Amino acid sequence: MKNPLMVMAAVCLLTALPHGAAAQGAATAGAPAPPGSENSEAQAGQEARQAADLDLDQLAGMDVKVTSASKEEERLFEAPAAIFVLTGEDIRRGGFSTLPEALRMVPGLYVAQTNSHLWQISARGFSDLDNNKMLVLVDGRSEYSPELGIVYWDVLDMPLENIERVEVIRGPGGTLWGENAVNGVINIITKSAAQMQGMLVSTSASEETGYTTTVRYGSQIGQNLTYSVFGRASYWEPFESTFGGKGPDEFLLPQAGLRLDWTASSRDTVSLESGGYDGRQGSTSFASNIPASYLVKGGDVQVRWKHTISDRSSIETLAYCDWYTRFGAPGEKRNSCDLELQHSYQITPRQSLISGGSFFSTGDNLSPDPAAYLPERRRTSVIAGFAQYEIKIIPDRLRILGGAKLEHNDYTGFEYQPQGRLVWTPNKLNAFWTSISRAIRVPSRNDSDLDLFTPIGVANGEPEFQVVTGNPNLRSEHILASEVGYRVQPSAALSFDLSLYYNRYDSLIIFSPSVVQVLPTSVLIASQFVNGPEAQTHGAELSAKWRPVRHWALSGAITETRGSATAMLATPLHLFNIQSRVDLPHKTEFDSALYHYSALALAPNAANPSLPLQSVPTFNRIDVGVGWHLGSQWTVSLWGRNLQSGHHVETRDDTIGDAAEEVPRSLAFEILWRFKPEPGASQ
Amino acid sequence: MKRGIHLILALVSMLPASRSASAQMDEYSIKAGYLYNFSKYVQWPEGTFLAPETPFVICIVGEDPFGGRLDQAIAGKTSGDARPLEVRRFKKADASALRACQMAFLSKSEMQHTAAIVDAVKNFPVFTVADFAPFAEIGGIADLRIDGTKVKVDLNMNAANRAKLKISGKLQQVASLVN
Repeated sequence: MKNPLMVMAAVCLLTALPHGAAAQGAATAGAPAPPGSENSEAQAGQEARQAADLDLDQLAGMDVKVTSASKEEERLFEAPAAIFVLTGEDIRRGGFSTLPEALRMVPGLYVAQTNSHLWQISARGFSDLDNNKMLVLVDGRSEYSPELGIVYWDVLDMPLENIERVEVIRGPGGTLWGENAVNGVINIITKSAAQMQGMLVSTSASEETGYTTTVRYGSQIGQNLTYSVFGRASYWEPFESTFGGKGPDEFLLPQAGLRLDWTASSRDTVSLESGGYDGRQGSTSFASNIPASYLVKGGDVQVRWKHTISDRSSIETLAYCDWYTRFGAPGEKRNSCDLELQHSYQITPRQSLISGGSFFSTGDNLSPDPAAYLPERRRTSVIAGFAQYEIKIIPDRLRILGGAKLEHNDYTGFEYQPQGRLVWTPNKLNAFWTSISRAIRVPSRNDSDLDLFTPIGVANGEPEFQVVTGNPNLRSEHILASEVGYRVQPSAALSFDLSLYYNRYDSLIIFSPSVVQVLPTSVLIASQFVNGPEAQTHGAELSAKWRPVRHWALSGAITETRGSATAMLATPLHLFNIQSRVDLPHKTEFDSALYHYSALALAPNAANPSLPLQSVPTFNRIDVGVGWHLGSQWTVSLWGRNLQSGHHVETRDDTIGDAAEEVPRSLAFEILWRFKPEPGASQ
Repeated sequence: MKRGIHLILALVSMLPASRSASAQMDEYSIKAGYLYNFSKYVQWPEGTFLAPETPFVICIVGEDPFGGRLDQAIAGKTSGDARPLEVRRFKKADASALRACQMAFLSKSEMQHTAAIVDAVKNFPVFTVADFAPFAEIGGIADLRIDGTKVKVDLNMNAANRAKLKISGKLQQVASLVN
């Protein structure tokens, strides 16, 4: 139930590289048009000629190309994967104060809030507070904890104003991103320093959910160096406990960060990012029931260097280290470092090859966790190499990608993760794609090394102990995913995106059934992590965007998930959302949204049969907000969130994680002030 | 009737080109598209051009970020009043050379010299447009700004008036007016 990972980190980075670079391309001083892109000169020219034939409205509605599904620039429309991009503007107009909440808008993602600062975020099943099948990257830096294989969403409370975009890929991304990108990859790309020039102060206040304030400043030094620094402090109010009264889940997180972008030459750009946080969280551990205040503290530093060798070839390097300490359950002290290289090469106008390698090392000390581990300290590493080849069989019509990643990790040895993808675009209005891919989840430190020995009472006069141990001989979980997708644009104002998938999981890591061992002086109820059953999930995700008139945009998504009981334990069958964005006169915006989550039924609890997993009723979340731009410097907005009911529970208690609390209806007031001084004034 | 069917087919097969509008394009293709459109939606004062065949000059100041896309975009096209279009490139801003441009595109590499460039041409009919914000807010006429995944235009009407340039209502509608 808990898991792991480390590997991902390594892999992930690779990814980030191209992203960051693309984001920067938009704003880095003096950078030439994104080099090394797969576009040949001829294609670029053709596109530019098309651009000149567009009118102003069409140009204003045109999206800038992004890079994700195939790690190279490509039209989102023609991407052979289930990909969605949430832009900074989408996030602003969604009216949320934190990143995990904003992910509710992403088609196919299931976001459920457990308490004031914990979320369960999943795609395609396996939702759990300890969901170990999603990979999250911030500018290429992995946010996956190898102790349990989960993501600490509470410390991903980054300033929303710093987010350039979030690229979400449902389905495996193991070939490009590496291990643990099993059910999806969430790729958070922050703005370049050039996009964060000037002064910004933003604050959001809600009596019911909490307060957050960000202060940011950016400037430049000389012609080729831009930088930006920020500080942010958030305080999240404790929610109502289902047992009555306030829960102990208050959360205080002060943090600061720095970004520096340097155009070293016309062929080289270097970015430095660093940040740190030092917070306190309250926790409602179901296991102990004792409220406590725990330290959460961490930092990171990363450097990214992109070098353009020629029009057809470029190389990117990413290096980072991060470290953090968390008390509570889970608790850990950890430091990790990662180095990645990626080379993109356009062999001919129709063929390209991306290849790379990475080395990741992570060391921990699990003494802060209430559970015992053997060994208590451990350092592990992952070394990996990958290559992906792409060929346009019929230019502008039919494209095939194939690749694989080979790695070695200290838990399971050698692993491979191949994929093949095909996209057919009979014309610019229709795109069909299909893919087959294999990805793995490596056992977590918890899966491998847990060593729990808990007195639980007295039986027949003998002391009774529950013994739960990890298993160093576990194999990786693996998934074989088959996907098909279709995108269509019936008119310039309307588009649809449909994907269907069938995932087969093998060797899922579960607890073995308990075995009672009667010893001369005690009774042991023992269980162990083992590679268990197979499972499957299948489902459909449909999203649409429609702009009926120029000042009104609608977007929405339907997500249907089905599968084996293990995969569906905490995953709703139906999700539905629709968002409306209206631009009114006088720079006023009126935005609203409905999010539907179907019920979770009462379910047996494998780990503790006497405590079945509680049901969660269906709920429909309604948010309504109004925003005003006052001059060019001020934006004020008022949001009503969860207007449908006074309070509701979104997740059920997890046997090990935190107890679920009641999400309240809330009113939030937000103010944003930004000021950009004259360039040159600093000279 | 048959003829009608053929026309529809012709339309359908032509749609993709314009439909790619709602899809995606390279950032600098979009920006090149904007520059070309500016030449049509802005009116330069009488006497700007010496002769009917005098070309309409678009100058790129600083490092050229277009990688040939601007030349491709305007190839074979003409300005609003049917003049041939011409692209000139300057490594460094030079006041007298700039005043001979109808449109001056400031590359990000020239960010540091913004104030001097704006000052040099502020009373001349030169449509200044920069590849970075907040150029329009600080005295330039327009800038192309990345907003989420879109490229948006900021427009400073005071600066345009001072340069005696008439901006069409259509362009004002699409742009964000910064003053």
